Amino acid sequence: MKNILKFNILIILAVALIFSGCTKWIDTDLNNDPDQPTDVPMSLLLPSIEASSAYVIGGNTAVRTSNIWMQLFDGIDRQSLTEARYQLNSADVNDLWDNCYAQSMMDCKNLIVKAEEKESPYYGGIAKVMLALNLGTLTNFFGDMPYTEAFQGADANLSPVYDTQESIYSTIDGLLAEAITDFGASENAVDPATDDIIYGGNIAMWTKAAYALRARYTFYKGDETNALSYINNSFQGDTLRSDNGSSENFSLAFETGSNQNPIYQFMRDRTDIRMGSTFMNMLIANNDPRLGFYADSLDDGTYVGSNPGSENDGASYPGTYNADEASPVLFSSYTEMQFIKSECLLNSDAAGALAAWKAGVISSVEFVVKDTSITNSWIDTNVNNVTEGNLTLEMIINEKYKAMYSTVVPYDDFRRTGFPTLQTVQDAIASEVPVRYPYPQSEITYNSDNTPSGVTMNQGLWIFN
Amino acid sequence: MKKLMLLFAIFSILGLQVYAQNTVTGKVIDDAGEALPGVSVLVKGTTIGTMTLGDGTYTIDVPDGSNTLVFSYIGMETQEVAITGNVVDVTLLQSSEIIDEVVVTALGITREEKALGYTVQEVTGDEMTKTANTDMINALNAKTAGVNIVSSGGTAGASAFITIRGASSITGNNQPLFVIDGMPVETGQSNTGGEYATEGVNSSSRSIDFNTEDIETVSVLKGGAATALYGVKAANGVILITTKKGAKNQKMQVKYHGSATMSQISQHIELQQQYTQGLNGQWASGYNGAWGANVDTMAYSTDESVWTDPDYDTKGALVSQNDPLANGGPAEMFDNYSFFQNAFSFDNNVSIQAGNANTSYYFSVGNTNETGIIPNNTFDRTAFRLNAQTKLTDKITTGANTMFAHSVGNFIQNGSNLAGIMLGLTRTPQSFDNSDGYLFEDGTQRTYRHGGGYNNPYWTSNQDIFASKNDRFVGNAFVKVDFLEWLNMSWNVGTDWYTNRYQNVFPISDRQFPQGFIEENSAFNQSFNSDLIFNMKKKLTDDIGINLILGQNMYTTHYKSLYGQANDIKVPGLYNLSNTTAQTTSKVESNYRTAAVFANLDLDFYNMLYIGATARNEWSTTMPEESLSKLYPSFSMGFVFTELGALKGNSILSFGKLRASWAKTANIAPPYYTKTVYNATSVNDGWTTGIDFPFRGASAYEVGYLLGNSTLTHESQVTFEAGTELKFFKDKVGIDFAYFQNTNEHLILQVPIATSSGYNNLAANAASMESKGFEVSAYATIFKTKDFEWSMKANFTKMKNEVIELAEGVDNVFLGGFTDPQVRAVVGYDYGTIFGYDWWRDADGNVLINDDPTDSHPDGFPWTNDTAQVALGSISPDWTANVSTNISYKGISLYALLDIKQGGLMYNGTRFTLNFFGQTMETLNRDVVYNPNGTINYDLTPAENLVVFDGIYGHIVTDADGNQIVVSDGVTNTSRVVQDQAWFRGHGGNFGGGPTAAAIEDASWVRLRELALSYALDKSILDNTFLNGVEVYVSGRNLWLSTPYKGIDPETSLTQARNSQGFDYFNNPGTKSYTFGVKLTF
Repeated sequence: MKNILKFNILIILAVALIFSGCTKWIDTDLNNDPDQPTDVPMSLLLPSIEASSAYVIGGNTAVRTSNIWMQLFDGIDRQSLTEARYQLNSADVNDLWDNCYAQSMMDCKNLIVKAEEKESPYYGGIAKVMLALNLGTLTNFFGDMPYTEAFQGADANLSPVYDTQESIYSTIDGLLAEAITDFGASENAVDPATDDIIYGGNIAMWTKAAYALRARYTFYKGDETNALSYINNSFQGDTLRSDNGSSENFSLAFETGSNQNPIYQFMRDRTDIRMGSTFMNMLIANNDPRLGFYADSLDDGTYVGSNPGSENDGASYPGTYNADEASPVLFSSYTEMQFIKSECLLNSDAAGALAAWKAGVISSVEFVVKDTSITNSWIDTNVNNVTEGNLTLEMIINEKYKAMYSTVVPYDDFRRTGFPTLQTVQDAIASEVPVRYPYPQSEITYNSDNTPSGVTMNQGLWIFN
Repeated sequence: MKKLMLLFAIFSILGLQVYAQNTVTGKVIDDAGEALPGVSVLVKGTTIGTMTLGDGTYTIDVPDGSNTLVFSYIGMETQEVAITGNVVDVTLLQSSEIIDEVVVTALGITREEKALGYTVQEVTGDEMTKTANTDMINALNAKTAGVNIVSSGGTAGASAFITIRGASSITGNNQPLFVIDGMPVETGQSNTGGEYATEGVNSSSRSIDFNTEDIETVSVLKGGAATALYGVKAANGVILITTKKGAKNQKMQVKYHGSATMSQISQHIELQQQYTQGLNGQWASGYNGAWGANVDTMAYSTDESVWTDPDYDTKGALVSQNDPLANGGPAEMFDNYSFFQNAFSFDNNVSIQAGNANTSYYFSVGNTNETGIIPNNTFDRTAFRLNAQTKLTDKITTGANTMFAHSVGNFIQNGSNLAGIMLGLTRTPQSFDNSDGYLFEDGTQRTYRHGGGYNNPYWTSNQDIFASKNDRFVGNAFVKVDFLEWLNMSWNVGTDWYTNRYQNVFPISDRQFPQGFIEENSAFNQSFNSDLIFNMKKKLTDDIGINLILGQNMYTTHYKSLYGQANDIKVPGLYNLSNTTAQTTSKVESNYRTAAVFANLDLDFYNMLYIGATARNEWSTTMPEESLSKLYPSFSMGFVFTELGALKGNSILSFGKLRASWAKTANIAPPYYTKTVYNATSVNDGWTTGIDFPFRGASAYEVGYLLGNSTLTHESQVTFEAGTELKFFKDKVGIDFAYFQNTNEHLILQVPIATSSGYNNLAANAASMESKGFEVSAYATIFKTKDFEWSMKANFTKMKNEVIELAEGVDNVFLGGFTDPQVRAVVGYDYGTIFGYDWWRDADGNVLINDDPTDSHPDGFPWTNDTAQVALGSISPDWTANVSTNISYKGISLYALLDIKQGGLMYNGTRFTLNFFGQTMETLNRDVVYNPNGTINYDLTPAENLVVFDGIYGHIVTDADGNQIVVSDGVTNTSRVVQDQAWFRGHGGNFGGGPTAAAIEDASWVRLRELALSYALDKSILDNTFLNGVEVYVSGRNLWLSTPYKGIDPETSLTQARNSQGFDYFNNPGTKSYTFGVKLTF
């Protein structure tokens, strides 16, 4: 009995010990993830926005697919071959959409709010430019899309309504106008610096970029007057740029070793695209000095484009311009502005149009080749010989097509103008080039009430009609 | 050598066991005259004891001065018999109490099986070690009802996936809790090294740390009433394991069990041996498929003008046999499968158990050394166990159960992975010889695509190293105090630790990471558990008893991993993270705690009616502040109707019970679901490796992908179970029938949401599921005499696991797979339904055969409808069954286990993809002769090459609104076509745009899962040796398999131990194995 008593006491002590620890034991602070912050400074958000925008807008489903359709590339194997035959299904575009919405654009919205709290309009302005860039890129693929109700998951709105493309376009213009105002602010609490991996915190450059995008989207809407005035405020013609860092171009370069350019990574891991014959034939016919930068030569030193849908895996690979490890992704440039200017002036100011066209071609060739000893003679015989009366819309678009290779712009222009003239695709499932992307499966599935149904890839978008 | 030393040491100890004594022998029988094995025989007043052998005989050395033997056996009355000579034979009588089978139930409480109101199924350690299985989960396969186990591949150390009575969670863990000697232990799969669930290596489940040889019994607790006392961790059922313990008063017994196993590749997809690498009937060096020339017409040429790639085409270029350049003999085809080897594994176990009146112990050491059928796939585990307990006083017992295991393994890349073994192996046209060198002098790789494409399998197995090391300690200590005859208390505290480290290396020139890649991961997992239990058991009257248990549980778990990844190796062959141009690192931590109080009340009336109730209240740190705590009850009832007067003593129905139970249990959220956070940014577009920060000198964070939810509530699980247990002819035949219905509501998951909301997922109580079905277990002792016994056991399970409800706006949840196909949870469908594209069909489901010469689809063929992914069927089987039989004659025993799975689909992406490359046998009938106008010449084309697709003529038109409309008159297709290169590289194969539906196959099987023949030496032969028992056996696993599945063994899972089963995409093949083993008792 004595023993039992002793042990009773022991047990009671043990129980008391356990229960006394109980309130501490269920410590709800344990449910704070030690690895994930609940808040971060603006300088950590900006690089995320810039890198994800560059990788996605310059990468697979935006550039690779649309450039296959534009016969700049050709898809010669597996999924890229399927795309070359105009087969692109709703699941194929999930990543493009999801990355833009849940990553790039959501982070922009978040940074805009933070910048206002921190009284740092420079950050706010940059976020607005990047948001406008994402919106503009996406709407030109998809048309109507959520914006006014988008990004409100935290407020329990999980199925945002779709805004018309017209409304998206005015949103883009509004954002860019606000950004320009923000960049003109006299006071800014926190300055972007090395965290701005595009312009290193140079707000003058950001202002030009904002004007450039504004010019592009205003021009797409047909407002040539305003477009011309925005172009004048955008990039100036310092044409010989060695790399992204010293350039006015709105672009982001990648790294060697890892974190390489998306087209480089695709060619390294998948190798399923080659140069398209429509594009290559244009360059070859004209002995274009950009050829060796845009494409890799074959073992015998020649260049070959794959006829669309022909599965020609012996054709040339993309070159150092866009498929080297560190090759930059280009968002917009002086070159693009000059071609838009040329198009604006084509019917009203023949001299101005020609001058802008020449500036566009020359700046592109010099930017790509970076050696005037090669380019000058070619420019003399192929550019400077063009006279006022000879310039046509097709010439403008064809040259812009060559200059804006590996961006989303050629697909925009083709839908606006029908140029360049494309070849028939072997074994294609449709006779015409698709004029839009299908809505992503993720929206069809999870936002089914609002996602437009019955959309086919041959239904033209408002902006290009 | 170490193992030999150990054995030597054991023998030395044995040599010291010397007694001064007489030897007594005898035989123990029951009142029916049948031999009783396993009867404990003890010299009274000493610790000297033995057990009777299979034939009921025993031999015991009795020291001088002792004169009484004590014979005891469960269910028999204990007898003390005076020693009157050298032979003492005994007849044991049944005790007045009914022979009660006891089973281990929740919290390790041993209870009479007849008193239970729910199903508990037991598997003995013996049954689990009939054939060689390194992972104890695989050893349980096909031995119970309602338990589904998929061993995910035939590689050494591969993971295994287990569920009980279907899935109870949508995307979370569906595997049961394993409790070993009262301590909950971690059994999930370690990191696989792949970025997605469809690639990487098949690493081990942590259940592999436990030595199956140490297991005494396994209790499978299936329903909520059985598991309710384990609380939130037991939502998926409990596998309760009791390890071996030394018995009191047991003479030291040393056992050795050694075995050698040989494994071979089992069923695999046959590759065509007729057509060479190339396209359009022409041989083409470096081409990606086998659409080249007929090998019978080709010869080697080493003429410089054609032999452009001697490094790759080592025997020469292929030219037509009548080509003047042919100088190297006829072209050959090679056998890609010669890559696989016979695998050998060796298993050595030594255990010692002994006990005296107060203390007993069990010690074991076991080593398993496995090699795989893939060269360099290895797994080696050494496990120790020490279980000991001692009685400090009459009232107090204390003890500890501890284990330590060290394992190392090298795992091989598999699945959808440019480095995966089967990807390169099966895609290689067999005119290319992979075995003729995989590594050039400059360190680059020799592949059939001339350096591109996929890894040469020899490169993968020799160069890609996934070296994993794991150290595991599990230990618990307990004290038990018997205060009063009817009141005791036990306190069991334990901890489970492991560290898992791996290095994953892809050298420069690997196809997966051409610049080289290194991963280092170091993970540490620790949990602590405490159970304090008061147990009150009293007979209120002679016929009414009560058992009340009150308890308290505390549990905490902590996981932390440090991870480093590096790209672009600088000095080749040096695998140090810093020997690279770029590195990224990360840390992952996960912590949570629970605390609970619980009560269990059992009442029994007249040995006939048993009523039980439990309640548990549990607090968890992973829930939001306002719903930290949850109370949940269970009730159960058992009614032994054969105790009723009219039925009592019935000569046919010897036992009959009805039972029913109901439980409402709960489950908690995973850690960190209540708040939205920022994540370190990583950019990935689904095609490439993407961007990891730091990038261009900057670090970055982004708004988290998961929208946290501070209003989460507990998941609720209502289980209802009813059943009956019947035994006939003095319990010689028995059948158990159970119906169950589990309703899981408010299931917490990361609900995928429209990304236009700014987030990818929302944490929410967002789904309901139901699984219902029935299980039948039966056994029969068909024939039994003194020397001969024939018995059978069988289990049958039929179950449906359906998704009832998902959150509003969520039509389906992605469980795993590719963009096409996917396994999804969709309302109204089976959990785990495969979705993908189908053929175009009319409204009645007939496949359309194109009849429109103006469209781009070839006439006479079906084509893919890629407008929407549709349900293609369920991965769950319609039913499963297993039957085992054991026949023994004297010391010889034959055991067989047949395993049947009926239904359940699998995505055979391997076959469908190999169609594209012209590698499958179905691509053989490809030759076709055309008329000048391009139509097929039916007379000259071989008849066996002409096929008519099942379906009706039709085509699609697009109306003004862009809708695609089927146009068909319903006429049955009669067009003869040829399945040639154009077809298989089009809609007849995976990359040509063919539909997933064409890759879905029935994965039913009937297999001889285990077969064992053993022979135990007659005891009399061993009389004058130091041996007490010798058994030798041969056994086999998966020796025979019958399945309609046209690929590898369909017991496979690309996604390994994850919920998205049902995928075969270049999975590593399964094996069949043969074991020879010896068991010695000293």
